[in-house]
Amino acid sequence: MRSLFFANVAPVRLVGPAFIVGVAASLLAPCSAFAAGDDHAQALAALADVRAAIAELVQVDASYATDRNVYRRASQRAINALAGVHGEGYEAGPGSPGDAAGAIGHVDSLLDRKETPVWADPLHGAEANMRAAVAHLHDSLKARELMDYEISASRALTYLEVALGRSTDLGVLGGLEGALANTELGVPAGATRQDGCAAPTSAPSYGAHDGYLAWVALPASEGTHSLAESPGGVDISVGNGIVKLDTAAAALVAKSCASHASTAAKTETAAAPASAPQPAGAAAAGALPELYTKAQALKGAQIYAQKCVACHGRDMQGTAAPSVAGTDFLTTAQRNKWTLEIIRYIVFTLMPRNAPSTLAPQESAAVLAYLLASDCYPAGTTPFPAADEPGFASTKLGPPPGHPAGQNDKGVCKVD
Amino acid sequence: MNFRTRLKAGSGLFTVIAFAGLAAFTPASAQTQLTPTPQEFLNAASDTANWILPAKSYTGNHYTTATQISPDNVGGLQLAWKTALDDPGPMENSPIIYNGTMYVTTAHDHVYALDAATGKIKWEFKNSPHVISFAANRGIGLLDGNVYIGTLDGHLIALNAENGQKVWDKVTVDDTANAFYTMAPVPYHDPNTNQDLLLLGVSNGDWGGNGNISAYDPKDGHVVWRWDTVPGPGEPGHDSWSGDSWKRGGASTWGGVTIDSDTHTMYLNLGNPGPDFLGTVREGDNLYSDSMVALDLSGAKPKLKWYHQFIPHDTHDWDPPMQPVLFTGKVGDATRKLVATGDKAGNFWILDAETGKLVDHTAASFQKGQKTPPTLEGNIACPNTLGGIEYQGGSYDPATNAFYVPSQNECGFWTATKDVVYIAGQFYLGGAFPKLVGPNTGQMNAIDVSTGTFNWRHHFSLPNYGGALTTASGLVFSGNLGGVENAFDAKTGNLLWSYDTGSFIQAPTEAYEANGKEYIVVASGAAGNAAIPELPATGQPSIISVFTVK
Repeated sequence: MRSLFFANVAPVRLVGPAFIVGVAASLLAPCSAFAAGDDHAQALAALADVRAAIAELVQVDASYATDRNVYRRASQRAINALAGVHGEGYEAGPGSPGDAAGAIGHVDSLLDRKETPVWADPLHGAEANMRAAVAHLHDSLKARELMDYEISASRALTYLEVALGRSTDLGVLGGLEGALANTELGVPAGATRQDGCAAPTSAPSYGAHDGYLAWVALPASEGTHSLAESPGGVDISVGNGIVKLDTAAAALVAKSCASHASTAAKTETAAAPASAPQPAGAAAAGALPELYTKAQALKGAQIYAQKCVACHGRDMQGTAAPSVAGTDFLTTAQRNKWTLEIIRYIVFTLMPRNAPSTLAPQESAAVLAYLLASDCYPAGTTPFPAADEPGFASTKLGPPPGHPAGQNDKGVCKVD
Repeated sequence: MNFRTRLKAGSGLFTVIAFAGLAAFTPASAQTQLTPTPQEFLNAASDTANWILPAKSYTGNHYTTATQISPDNVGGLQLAWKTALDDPGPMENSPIIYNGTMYVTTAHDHVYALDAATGKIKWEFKNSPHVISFAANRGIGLLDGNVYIGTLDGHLIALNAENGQKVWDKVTVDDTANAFYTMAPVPYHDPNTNQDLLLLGVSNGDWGGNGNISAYDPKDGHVVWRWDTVPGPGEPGHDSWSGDSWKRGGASTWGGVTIDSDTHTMYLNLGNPGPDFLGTVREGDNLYSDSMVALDLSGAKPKLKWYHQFIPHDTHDWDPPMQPVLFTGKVGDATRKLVATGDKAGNFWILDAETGKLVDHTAASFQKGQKTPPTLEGNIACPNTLGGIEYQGGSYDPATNAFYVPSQNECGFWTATKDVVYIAGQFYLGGAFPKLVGPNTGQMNAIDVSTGTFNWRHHFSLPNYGGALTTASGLVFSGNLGGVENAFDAKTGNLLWSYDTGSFIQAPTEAYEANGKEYIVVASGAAGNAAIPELPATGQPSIISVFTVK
């Protein structure tokens, strides 16, 4: 989710993958109840099903379950979300995280028409990739061992990611997101539609032309305006109290408009009822907490050099023992769901391995400060405490967002 | 693909087929054989040139019939070559040597093929996978033209023995969060099914996993059979675990595999119960932890013949890591088929190989406080988790009817915790590994099999982890943790030769021949878990040292 921030005014929300414009409360209709002919809602439902299938596979991977039935159940549920109750391979037993029609059912319905809309290519692409994913998921059901399962499930995931597509692409690789971002499929029923060749005259509104969506307009009022997806374009223009976000199709539309010489702004309001938005996702990963002071981390570096380096290595990647900082450590921590409380327990109680609990609590705290600093957590003004704190149990460890300054190729930040 | 590339690919395919057809008509004898045949594995004990199984032969006896190096000339033993390997860490591997090539591994699963006569590196495979807890690798298996290695992240990998290229790579552990491999995959040809197998046990006991010994198909790594070391509900022995404690019961299988190929019996030592130091959450004997098991391999799946539990309900991580040694020795006036092993509590055991009944027991290390479990406040017990008799093994010499095995004197201050929680990827201990409290010394022992008493003992000021290699010429070789490789007279215990390798030794010694000349090899490196205050905390390089009489 991307956020734009405008000060001092109550937020206006743009929700849904296709930038449904309006006040949030009025748009929160149920996902499954779309009227016949409401292509936008149909496409949204397909998108929700694909995402549900992906989530199912990602969640089971993160579960670290050892029972093969857990993985098989996830694959079958993903198949169900894609195929729908009438699709091939549907098994009622494990249930479905998607709806009855299934993603392939929704896309079939959309493509089942005489004309060929501009979004037919990306949807054909999406469907082909979904079917390939289902085939690999069927393979995964037969896997005897975890690695075989993972090979099939990873292939299925790759195909599903392509089926999901990307908002920056207009063609076959755009998939569902590309179609929703760049074509009329992205205009919700009932939303204000304007000619994409012209600048918006009101907001919120959608600028469409020849089947493509050129821009999304929203009021330039102060407050938080959220888009569930990137609009795909790079240009944002502000004027007449309106913010205009170009889509990736804007350039194509501009070219088309120039040849048409048709600039009459035509405002129309579709008659169909408001469609279903996706609920806004989780907020972007917040800044990492400040858990120690710089002076403490420097002291910890000295203790590390004396007590830890023989086994964990100067580069913190381990010689006789595991890595304790950087990408290998943080991805392991994330996979195993390690919290700060767990790491604190290890350092304070079990380390050094041949002489546990021989460091004073202040020294162990300094070592933890050094580890956090090496993991690119920012320094603050309060030292890492010698005593445990309840908040540590909910502080999960994982790779930092982006690429923090000073990070080396092992993902370790320099402490000096 | 366009038409041109299609054509190209097609002609390439043709070339391959033609080549393969040619190769099929080349007599096999004209090529250097890369890996041993099933018969060679069965005859490994008397093969003086090669060392093709981790402990020389399926019997687990580090004994060579080679006699070029003897008590008379060992004083002139000199360094033949020394090769440094570019992966720092503890060196714990048993080199595998076949037809002039030596295959060694380093702590992070790197594999090196060396010229056995010169030490020149022929190829290397650099892996460096994610380390769950301890970085160590104890060697490779050589079979069907491939080199096999089990890795620290739970993979079984096949490499082409000729060039080190990866042939296949498969995750074969059940749970990659807590299970990994350190032992060498052991090749075994099942005479009943005529199938080649790789026998491999898993290291997961101190991390909340349950052990197993598995047979994998060397073609693709699929499991042919698996024998679980902790009996599940309904199986005999299950009632030796209270409640659900068996689910994280440990009893891992990392020590080594001994096979009696005449009776198709596998002898296997199983690891400590988990959580290591908190026995109150797993009341009972905790079978088959800290046990030797004899498994009948003649059926489709292994069947338990007998078990002998050395330490019921262990609370100190005192498992028997030493590979069992199968031999025929004299007890009193009787010649008996025996199996011997040692544990980390400092006990040396001799059992009847057919029944598992105790024949003799010798305390080989300083022992104290063994009946008291670790407490919240902490208490001292000896040895600590790295004391006693370790995995590097020992040897039986028929000439002296003596068993040679080193042992360590280390004591620890142990603490338990009130409770224990399983955390994926972390120790499952119910306490902390013991704080070292000394004396951190060791000895080489010669134990009279007939009486269970010492023929001689050589005391060292540092632990002596290097196992024991006995030669038919009457020598015993062993490496000291401080880095010195030693040779003793097997009869008298007199120290006849020493050489400082410059790195810390915790790998067993082996003997082989290249171009008709006998060599002695030992690996040395960093101290790793064996680190003690008496050693410098510097990072010692990983070295393979090879000696010969010039």
